[in-house]
Amino acid sequence: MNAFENWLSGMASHIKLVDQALTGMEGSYVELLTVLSLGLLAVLPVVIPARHRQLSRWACQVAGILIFVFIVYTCLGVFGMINNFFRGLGEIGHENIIALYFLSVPATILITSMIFGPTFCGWVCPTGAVQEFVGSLAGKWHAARRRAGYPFSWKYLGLSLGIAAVFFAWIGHLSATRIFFVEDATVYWTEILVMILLVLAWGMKPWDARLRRLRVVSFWVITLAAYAGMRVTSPVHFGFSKVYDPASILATAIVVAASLAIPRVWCRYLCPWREAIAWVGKFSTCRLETDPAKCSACGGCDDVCSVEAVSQGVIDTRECHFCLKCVDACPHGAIQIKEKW
Amino acid sequence: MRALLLLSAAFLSLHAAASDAWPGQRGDERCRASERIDPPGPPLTEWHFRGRGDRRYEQGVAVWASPALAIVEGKPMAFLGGCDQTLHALDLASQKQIWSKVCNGIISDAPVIGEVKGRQVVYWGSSDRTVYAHDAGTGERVWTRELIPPTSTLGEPWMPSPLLMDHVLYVACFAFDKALARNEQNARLCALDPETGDLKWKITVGQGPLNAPAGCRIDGRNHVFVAARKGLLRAFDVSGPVPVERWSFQMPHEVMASPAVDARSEPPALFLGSKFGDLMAIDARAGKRLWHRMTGNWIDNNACVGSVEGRSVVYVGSHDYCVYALDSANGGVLWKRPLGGEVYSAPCFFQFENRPAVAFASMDNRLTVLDAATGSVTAAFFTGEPVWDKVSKGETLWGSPAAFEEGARATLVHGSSSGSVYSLPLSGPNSLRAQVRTTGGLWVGIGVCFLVFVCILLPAAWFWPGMGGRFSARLLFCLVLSGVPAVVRAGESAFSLTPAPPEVFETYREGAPAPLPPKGVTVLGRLDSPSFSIGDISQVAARLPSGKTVPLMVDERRILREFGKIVSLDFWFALPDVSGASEPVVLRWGTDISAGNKLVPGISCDVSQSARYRILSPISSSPDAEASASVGVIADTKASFIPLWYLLPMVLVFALLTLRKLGT
Repeated sequence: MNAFENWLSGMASHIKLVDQALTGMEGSYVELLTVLSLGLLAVLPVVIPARHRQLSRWACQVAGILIFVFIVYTCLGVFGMINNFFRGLGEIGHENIIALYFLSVPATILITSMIFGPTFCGWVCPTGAVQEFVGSLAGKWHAARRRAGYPFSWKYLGLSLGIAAVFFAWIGHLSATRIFFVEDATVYWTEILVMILLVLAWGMKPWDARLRRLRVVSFWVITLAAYAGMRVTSPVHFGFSKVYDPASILATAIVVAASLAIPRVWCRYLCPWREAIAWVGKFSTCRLETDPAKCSACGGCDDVCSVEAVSQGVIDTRECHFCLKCVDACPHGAIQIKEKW
Repeated sequence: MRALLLLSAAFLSLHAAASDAWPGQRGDERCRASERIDPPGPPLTEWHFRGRGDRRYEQGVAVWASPALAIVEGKPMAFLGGCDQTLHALDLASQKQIWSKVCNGIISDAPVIGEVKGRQVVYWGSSDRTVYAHDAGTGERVWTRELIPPTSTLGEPWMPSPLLMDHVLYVACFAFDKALARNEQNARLCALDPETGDLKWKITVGQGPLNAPAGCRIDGRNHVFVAARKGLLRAFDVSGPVPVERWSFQMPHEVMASPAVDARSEPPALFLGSKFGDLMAIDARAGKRLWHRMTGNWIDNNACVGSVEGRSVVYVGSHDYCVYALDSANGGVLWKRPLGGEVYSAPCFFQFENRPAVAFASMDNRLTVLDAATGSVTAAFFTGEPVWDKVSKGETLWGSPAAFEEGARATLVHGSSSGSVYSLPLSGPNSLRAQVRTTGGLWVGIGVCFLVFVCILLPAAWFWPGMGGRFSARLLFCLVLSGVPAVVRAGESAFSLTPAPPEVFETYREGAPAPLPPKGVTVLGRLDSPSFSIGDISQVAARLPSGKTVPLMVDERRILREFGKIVSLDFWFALPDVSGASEPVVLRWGTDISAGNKLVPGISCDVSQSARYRILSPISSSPDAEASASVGVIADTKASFIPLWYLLPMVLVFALLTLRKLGT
């Protein structure tokens, strides 16, 4: 290795300039590892063969959780990434290494989404992965409810009320044991999530698509707050934070519990990054397309999609997480990945 | 006659009080960390001071130590150091740095301020094993004293705040020597003459790091109390020519702090917390426990003793998020207030709007001011995210706030772990003010959020199909464009060289790339030892073992001048071969030297190889020790290409994808 490095050094001494830009802060290679890891994970859906693809996806999601929690702990969750994106932009030309530090994660996510599709959501996102793993415990119940057209369910209502009770009890306890600040906005996002659950208990069918528009509001609020320099914490923030954040722990607990009632509930209704990724995903070189000649409208793809982005073979690219479950579930191979470079 | 004696005693006590403006780590022996501006001048205004801002931070280091406050020549001034190895003297009224002194090691604790021969002098210790004494008003050097002799096996020295009592400067010091057995790792308490720095006496008081000494006068005799990090608190009678140990007391766990002393109570009491979570009240005369009170988690900083409505109250913060106010007589809890994070700082007790107030810093990155009588929150400030990626709790004594009382007003001074020193007036608008939510306010917010959801968001989602469509298509452009105005800023890098430890040389890049020899060896260094002072860059030269003089490349942006002299510079020079690294390269400076050194706009170099040596400066055996330093090879220029290997899989995947595309 040393001989090779010496030879390389002699051949191209200026290669250190490349090396400089990618070497991380504090002598670590966290950012480089981030770029590489997220990049590779985003590429996997395209290069992994169809056989055992879902198994590979789960492994990828576990790797995503490990990478985010143990390596990319500076991202500070879905809200913090937007905040850090601004901070990174502001550091360009001033502290380039710090700019790389803060821009590496959001930039990698957006660029890979633009090239390979919104694979981050379906294959890497730790928040999505946790929701999916927990939601799979009630997978059959979800599929049955969906097939039945989401009728009123006492079981669902009870679950939602239980989650609301946990929320209010925890807030009551926290408000008596610590002081809160305006920045602890996680509380309000969690409250909105609880209210969404209760609204959907009375009318999932008419409200589902409409409430997904709240992602835009969520994105704008976080973006404007970041631009104004406000510090806003987010669900799962505690996993990446430098301090113990009980409000964030509550938010994570509510998101996880709510994913038992509705699969990927955070991604569907409130995730600001989902909105950004959906937009850049529109320009992706990779997309899912259905061959009408092969599609028998059997509904097999509907049953497996956890975000209801596909209906009778028709794919809503705005909602698709590129998990490729529909591709694998289609008995006729009607849904395929198309590359348009 | 009796009246005359009383008057004389009163005068002497006033004089004594006036002579030592900030005699201990947290000001007076009660650790109140506040100073009165009397008569009050124009109100102090908000100020954020960044320091040199070019340091790289190891995890958990004290970015800023606690400040010491004093009125110097009529100016309200704060003195503090930290990881940037520099003692800063800040005038809070004119919001200027009056002077600064670069040390050769970090300053991890507060300085103390006293009066010697009519002039105020600042004393502080640094991890360069040296105690410094400089004029508080001008920064002029009074004296420096190296307390720990240098050896090649010495670890990071630890030198907390000194104590100035009865015209003696007490300093605790410790440095782990790798060459010695564990039971030979001696920590020492030294007594110095504050006028000359001469050593009066030195005693061994333990085998590990010591915390800052505290002191008071008991029964007409001066006592110094020193707590070892391992928990052993010892009391010395220092009135005689040699110190006499009076008693010792073993705390139940590690102790990071120094005792707060209530000398007015009977018996006089010390208050000290430990990482077991208990606050002990100890009889300062006999060393017996008076009472103890458990908190829910570590106490890793000082307590303080304040007076509220004639009652003596002990304040302390704990890692259980809570601030405790305890009756100093029996330890009864007067009030307990949870804050937003672990309370790591020592309290600062002061008067604000004619009411007693107490301020704490906590790990939710906020500075909170509480009413000292009731515990209600008066004000809170957001003091920025820490510079570290991860916080190592309970390992470092981070900076605590101090306060200037200006009549009914008050201004807090706090060196934050975000890298800034904040001067924060409690009255009027403040850009860092954090809106604390009371319990009621939190529930009102939840109610407002409910109303917004039901009355605005739900109807909008139902009736406005475009809400999720047209706007989102432009979101990213807006996001990127709104960040562009900030891109054109100019500034300087956050990276810098320090001579020790060598690990900080892992990567160094700055300014324009320097033409580094691909196979050579480059020595990077900084000259800023206490005795280093030259008039021009030509007055320093590097001499190889062969006798040849090597020209230095001096980074022109890293030259630091004090009083017209260069006191710190960064340099690099190339060596032809690393094999001779065992022989020291000698750096000499002086007016008789004229070397052909060059100024360069910056140094750009990656130093990631393992051939690094620690800079030893100065060599004590040298006949001209004050003017020479030995610098070993600390790094070579062979870049590590390991990071590039990480890229290969990515490149491979992209290549395969492209090939596949070309094939179809």
